[in-house]
Amino acid sequence: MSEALEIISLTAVRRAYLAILLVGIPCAVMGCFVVLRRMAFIGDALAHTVLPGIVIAFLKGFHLFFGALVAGIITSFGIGWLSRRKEVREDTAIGILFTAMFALGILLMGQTGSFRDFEGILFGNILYLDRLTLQAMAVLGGLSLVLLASVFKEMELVSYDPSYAQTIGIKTEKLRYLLLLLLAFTVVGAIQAVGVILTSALLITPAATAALLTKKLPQMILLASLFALLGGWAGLTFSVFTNFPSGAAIVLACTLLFGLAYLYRSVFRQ
Amino acid sequence: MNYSGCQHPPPRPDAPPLRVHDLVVAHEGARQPALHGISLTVEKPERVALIGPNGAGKSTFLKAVVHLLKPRSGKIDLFGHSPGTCHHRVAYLPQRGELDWDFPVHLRRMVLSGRYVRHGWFKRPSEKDQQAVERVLALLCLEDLADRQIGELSGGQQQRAMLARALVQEAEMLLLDEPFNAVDDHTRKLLIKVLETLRQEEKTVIIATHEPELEGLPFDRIFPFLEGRLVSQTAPHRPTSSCAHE
Repeated sequence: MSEALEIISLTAVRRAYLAILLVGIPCAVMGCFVVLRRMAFIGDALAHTVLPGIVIAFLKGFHLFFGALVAGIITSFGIGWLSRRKEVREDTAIGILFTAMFALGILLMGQTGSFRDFEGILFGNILYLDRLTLQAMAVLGGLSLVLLASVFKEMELVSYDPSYAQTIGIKTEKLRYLLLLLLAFTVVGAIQAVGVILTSALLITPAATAALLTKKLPQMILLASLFALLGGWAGLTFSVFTNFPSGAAIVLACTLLFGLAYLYRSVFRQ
Repeated sequence: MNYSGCQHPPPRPDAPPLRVHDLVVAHEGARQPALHGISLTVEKPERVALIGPNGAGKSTFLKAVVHLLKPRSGKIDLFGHSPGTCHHRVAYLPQRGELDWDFPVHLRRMVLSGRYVRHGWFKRPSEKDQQAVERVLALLCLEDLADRQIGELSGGQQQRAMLARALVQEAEMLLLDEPFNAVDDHTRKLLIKVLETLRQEEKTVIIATHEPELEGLPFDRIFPFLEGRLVSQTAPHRPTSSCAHE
């Protein structure tokens, strides 16, 4: 057994496994819509754009989680507002806000005098989560799932036939804002687990893996959740026993599952 | 709760299903309008055709009627109300290319979405809705394909799938955009059969088509479109009809 396991308390390990459950499922569910709506870029962007919020919270002495949450909400509405008309496409709006907010974050980090304070948030610190962070993860993840479930049939319809949805009176623009907001909630939770740089993998990879294996959305959501938990727990276990960075281990475990699914599909479905 | 956020109002007495007055529509970002001063009225239970070459403005007209495009000026009345208030009375069949056919949804569920307008937010479709879906699938010979992902259907089957969704809505007026476009013989015959059933049920039907021969389908009136204008109006079966403003 590694030295690392001796140092890390059992409570911390238990919390880490629980955190995977709390962020893995919301990420997988939201990720299905992100993948199917071809918005994969947004997960990465949202994760990076919360940086200034985190730094401001650090400088003002707030919990970093709340800084990230506020920045995430501002970014999601900023993307929605900037791309509400056709003059600026959504991917362009994401690209502009993503780089601008990340640059602002780096600028503000310079004010703190130490980049080391943010190492956990950049690369993930799942083995060092406090109780409040875990509770916040549960609230945000639960809220995202409940809200999505309540508009599921409309969100599904808007995702493949927005014109028809509009003709029956569904406000597709409002649903887009809602999706962006729920994504912000999900991403902020996931950042605590795998860090800013690797968050989009938790959002995209399990959903993309599931998409290889099924052509029905409910099954895709179930499979994606299963892969997120499997990859998350496998990566975490590997990290605990080998002292390998946890965020990277989780993402690589998820990627391994994607590789296996890809192989399976290539061999058996052609 | 309805998607429009208010109760569906009943049709105004004596109001026609569609009355359009001096409609001007431009696509987003375009300076020039795509439709110039269109005025027409469609009575219940007429079956009318909008004909014209590609780009004549037929689809734009239908999109304006179902509120997908906002008019620059002019007025549209549906059953005596503004377009945003009676979504359930009007079913729209878009062109096939407007849907993401790769999306992981199967045919039965796609058709079921035609019932959503009757429930609105938060309410799940009932057993009655499922039965309505099965009836329409059978009518269009789609029962055996009900569990297929929509992208696995052929072009004609996809066209029937969209028509099934429009029919299951049980609307009083149907707007069909190029329903005969690139469909096989079987689908064409089924479409004509369905149109005859709709006539017996006294539904109002507006079909946009660029096919000049109209496949022998009888229409009460024909509205020819050209370069965004209503050229004239012909009435092959009811020459004395005078519903149009122009």
